[in-house]
Amino acid sequence: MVMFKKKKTVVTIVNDEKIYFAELDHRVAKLISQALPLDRFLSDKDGCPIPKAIGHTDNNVLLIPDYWLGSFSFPFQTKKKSLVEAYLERRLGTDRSFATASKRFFDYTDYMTDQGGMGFYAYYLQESTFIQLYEQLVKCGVVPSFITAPGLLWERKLRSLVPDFADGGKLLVCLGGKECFLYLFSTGHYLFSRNIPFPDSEIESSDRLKTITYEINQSLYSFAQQTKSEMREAYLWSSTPSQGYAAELTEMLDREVLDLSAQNRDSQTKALNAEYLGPASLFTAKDLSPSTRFLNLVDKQVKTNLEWRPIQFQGIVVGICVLLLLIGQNAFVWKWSSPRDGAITRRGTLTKTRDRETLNQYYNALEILAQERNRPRAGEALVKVAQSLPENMRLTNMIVEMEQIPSIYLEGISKASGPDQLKDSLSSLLTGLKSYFQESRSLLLKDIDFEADNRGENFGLTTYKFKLRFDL
Amino acid sequence: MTTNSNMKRWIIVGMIWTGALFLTYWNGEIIDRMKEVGEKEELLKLEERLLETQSDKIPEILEAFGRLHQSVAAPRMGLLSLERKFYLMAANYGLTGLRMKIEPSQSMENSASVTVFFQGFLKDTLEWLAVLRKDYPYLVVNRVEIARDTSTNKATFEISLNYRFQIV
Repeated sequence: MVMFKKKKTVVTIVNDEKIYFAELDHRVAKLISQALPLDRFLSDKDGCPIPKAIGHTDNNVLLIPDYWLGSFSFPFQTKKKSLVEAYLERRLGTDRSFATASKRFFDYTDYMTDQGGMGFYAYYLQESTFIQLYEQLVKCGVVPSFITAPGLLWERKLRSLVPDFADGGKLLVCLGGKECFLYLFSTGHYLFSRNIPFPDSEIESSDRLKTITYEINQSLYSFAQQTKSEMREAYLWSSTPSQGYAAELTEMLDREVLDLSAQNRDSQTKALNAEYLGPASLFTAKDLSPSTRFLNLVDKQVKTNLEWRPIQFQGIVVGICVLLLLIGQNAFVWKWSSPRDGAITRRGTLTKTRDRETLNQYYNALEILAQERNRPRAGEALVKVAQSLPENMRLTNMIVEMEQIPSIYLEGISKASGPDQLKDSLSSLLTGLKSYFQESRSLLLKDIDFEADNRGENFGLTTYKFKLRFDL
Repeated sequence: MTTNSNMKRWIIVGMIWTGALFLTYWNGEIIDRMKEVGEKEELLKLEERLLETQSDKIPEILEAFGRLHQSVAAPRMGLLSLERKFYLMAANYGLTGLRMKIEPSQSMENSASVTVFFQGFLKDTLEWLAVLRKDYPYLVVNRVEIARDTSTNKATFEISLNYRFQIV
């Protein structure tokens, strides 16, 4: 039953050089640890400074800061997974322009290039601290099965919220209590993000907006340089009621800013809402759940294992059902077979007596008598041959063979005025034989060997010798 | 850890399906055995019925089968009596020059090959063969060879017989 219990998901959040652990239980995300300084967590060689509340689970999500991610796009002719992955591994391993933490950790999505060809966006881990963190988590038994970043989670979320998300450039302004986060997307793919802290919480709203506007313009400039295209739409997401920020931003940026926050209100799940979590504070349990299918930068082996997991579960469930059916069938046939076995044993014992011997003799006698009855009879064969002979024919030699292949061999003479009469006589002989012997029905004149006797004519008649054999 | 869990899951899948395969085989075995038992049971019932319904015919069949072998104290004794009977019959049917050649049978136990040579008419020989068939079921005709003299209408016969006996 433990197998079928829904496993909990543990989310490890890295923000501002600190590490936090949260637990997703159904629709609720809740923190289960205080902030742990990242350097202390990494330098702890002896123990594992993780909360005891974290049990062993395969559903571990690691949420890393956006700046730990690197990305690049490249055209590629095929969508075949093995080829794309081999290419990426080779490129991340050999291309020195990428500061990769490891060539093992990456993920990618495809897109159509402007020329209509196939292209891919690849994301990899460029922060060297990541490898230390990963190894420490493995050591502590919290092996990440999913590794992602806020930018990639927003990409997944906006894909479902914004219908034309894949068209052109998009800007998302996320307003937290003490921070603002800018996310920039191109053709539906996360490009980069900016973090704008508000050091003084008492700062005027108008000043905040000015700061945000300035940073947005800087980011748009950077976006235009990277993508050689203009930003099309901008969206606002706020953890608190946005108090008309969308309208103010629209005015200040001179472009429409749509407020998506309203779509968050009806959500049954609650965001973590802990400001110190940074961008992660805006995500709900649903956003962080692996079932959302966000981009996952975990290493290939783990990913392959994850792909097999549903098949394994199906195999287990179907297997148990089949097993139960077979056990039921086994119990039924076993119960059904026992009394019949006993009956046959009793019956078998009774028949191992003189009756059995009599029956065996009877069967043997029947078989032999049937063989005798079916055996061709020599006397009858002789009579039938004699009856088949035309008047002008006489037999000189005859062999009736009854063993192995029963057959008849005939040798005789025929007196005829010429070949025509001989032909008639032989035809008459064949007709007679065919009427008596079934096997002779295929006999033809050509099967009869004949020749003229050279002793001369007698009353104008020539003597012909003939020979013939056929099976009975 | 993930790899371990993955391996554990594969082991569980393997064990479950191995169990399913084993049970399939076992159930098949039981069903096959039951089929055999059912057939055996049916056969036994049939035989029991046969013994009941054919109780008067079984002795007849066994007796007819018994007649296919001549009961003799020794094979030589049987052959001597056979030779004597042949000479008597030959006289009755006008067959002349009767001669017999006896060889142990190559193919069957409790049997001997007997070849009879004589001269006579075809009609008489056919009658002789009919008597042989009717009164001597332990003699089986294997081969008949006839060479006929067209001037006299008489023929030379060579008849190979299989003589079946049973030593009592």
